[in-house]
Amino acid sequence: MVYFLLYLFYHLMLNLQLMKIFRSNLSLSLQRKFIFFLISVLFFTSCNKDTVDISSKSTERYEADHLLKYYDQLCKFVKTTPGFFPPQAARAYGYVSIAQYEAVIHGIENGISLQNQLNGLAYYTLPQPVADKEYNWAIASNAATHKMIKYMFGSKLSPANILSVDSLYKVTLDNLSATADQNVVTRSTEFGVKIADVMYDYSKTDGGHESYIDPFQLPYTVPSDEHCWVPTSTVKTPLSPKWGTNRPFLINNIAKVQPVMPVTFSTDQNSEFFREAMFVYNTVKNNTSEQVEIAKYWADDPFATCTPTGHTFNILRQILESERVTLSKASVAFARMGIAENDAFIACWKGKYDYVLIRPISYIQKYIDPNFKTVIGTPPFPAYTSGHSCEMGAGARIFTDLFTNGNGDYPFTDYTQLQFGYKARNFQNFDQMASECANSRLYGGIHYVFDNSKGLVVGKAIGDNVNTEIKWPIFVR
Amino acid sequence: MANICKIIFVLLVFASCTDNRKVIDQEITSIKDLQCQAAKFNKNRFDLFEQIRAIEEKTPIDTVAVDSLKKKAQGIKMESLKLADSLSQRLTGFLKSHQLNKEDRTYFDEKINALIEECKK
Repeated sequence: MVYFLLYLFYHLMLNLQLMKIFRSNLSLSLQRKFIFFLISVLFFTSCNKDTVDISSKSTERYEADHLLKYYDQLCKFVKTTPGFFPPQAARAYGYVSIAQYEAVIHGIENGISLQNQLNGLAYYTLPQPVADKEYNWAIASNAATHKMIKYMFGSKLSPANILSVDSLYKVTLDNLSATADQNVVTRSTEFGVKIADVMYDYSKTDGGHESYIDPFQLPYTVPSDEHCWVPTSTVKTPLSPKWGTNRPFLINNIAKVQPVMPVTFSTDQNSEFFREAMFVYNTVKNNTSEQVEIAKYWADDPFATCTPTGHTFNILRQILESERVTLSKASVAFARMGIAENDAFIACWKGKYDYVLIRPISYIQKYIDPNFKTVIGTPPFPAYTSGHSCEMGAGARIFTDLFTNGNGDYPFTDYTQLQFGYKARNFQNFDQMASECANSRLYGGIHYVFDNSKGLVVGKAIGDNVNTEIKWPIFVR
Repeated sequence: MANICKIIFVLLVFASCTDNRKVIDQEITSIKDLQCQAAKFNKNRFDLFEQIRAIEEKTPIDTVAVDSLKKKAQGIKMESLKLADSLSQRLTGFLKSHQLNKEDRTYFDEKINALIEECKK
């Protein structure tokens, strides 16, 4: 408004023709009154602007160090907290990610709150910053992320992990508040905590609240049809059978991405299904050592790693670190990934329990070779579609939109599995990474090809929805 | 004069590359034991899972043996996680404190992968 009036004033005063009209048609007193009026308007609007344009620094001007450290801790907590299987882990990452984002969104240029963009969040009232008060968005981010992590792990968080996250919170707060006004520190902290409180209330109604206490969601009776999943280990019931009914962050991530079963179940040796099973069998029999390495590399078993979602977040963290991004860019990136990963697992689990498809090992041992062994352990839930493919398909689309011009080309090395004694793996393109992750499930002998290909389709559709349906600030390129 | 500047510039670039490679070599040497231990834990973990799977495939399942192996696996897991933390922190710290260009990154990748290959032998 100020700039518009200045622009108008400038043109009025400089335009000779207008000046002539101005001088010739108006008396001196009217001219003076008009100029006085114009200056008053300018003065008033500029004062008004000062009260709105608060002195809070933009989120862009803060470092992302503390946020990257929190995501590192999140990975450790998933590894060491009982009950955090892949769906539960994806949910924890999801809600922490939207809370940390909402805590800094008011400091991001063109940032739009998720309040009216996420499914069901409009029923909850997110706090708004007070218009004429200063905030430190990094402090708000610190408070929201810390609180939300504690909420998502609840009573299962070990004393050592509580100490660890509290210590990170305190160190970060001390660093950030060293030169800040105490009122700003208190206000920003309270704002972050309130964001976490509301997001936690929102999370309670999605269907996955405290699911780490009973991840197998018993009672559940597995259908006994010939095509249906049967136990592949001592675990007799499959994991989280009701997960597919959870509320997604975006309705279309479930409503518009569900694939039909591309191959009809059959035990006939001339059937397509039999051929699919034979393909798994032959692949495992003829795996190269590189393929075995790939199978194990992407396995991300919940016993020692932070699950597939954690692996994807670790890759994101590694890229954000190497790009030395600011708090705003890191915050947006984590939010996008969190929403996509949470919804990818819901969509995938819906398919798994809509079809309850038998795993390759069970089919092959029954109809092809009773001595068949997979490369890695078969997880305790149905085959179709592959969870890894869904989540990495979604992740690949988020990575592509965040870091490339749309073609996915981004040469990088994934160092995240070095800690477990694996080699670093180089990729030239995010889709290439997603395909390798999906294929790893075939090399491992635990998925049919169509589980992986359809999983990727579902995941990529979800990633695209997250990129396009939500209004994100545009700056991460 | 311009030529002398160019030569000095090339020498400086060369010297900085050499320095970075020296630092990478030193880092790889210093994490050798940790990295090999991680590879060993990983192998042990998969071996144990193999044993558990083998028992689970037989009927009736020897639940005592499975429980005992799972307990052993839990021990390896905890040690493995502790080690993974140290390694992860070392690597993050190293990559953060040394701005490696594309060539140095490739050199680092080759060296670390060669080390892991060596650990597996």
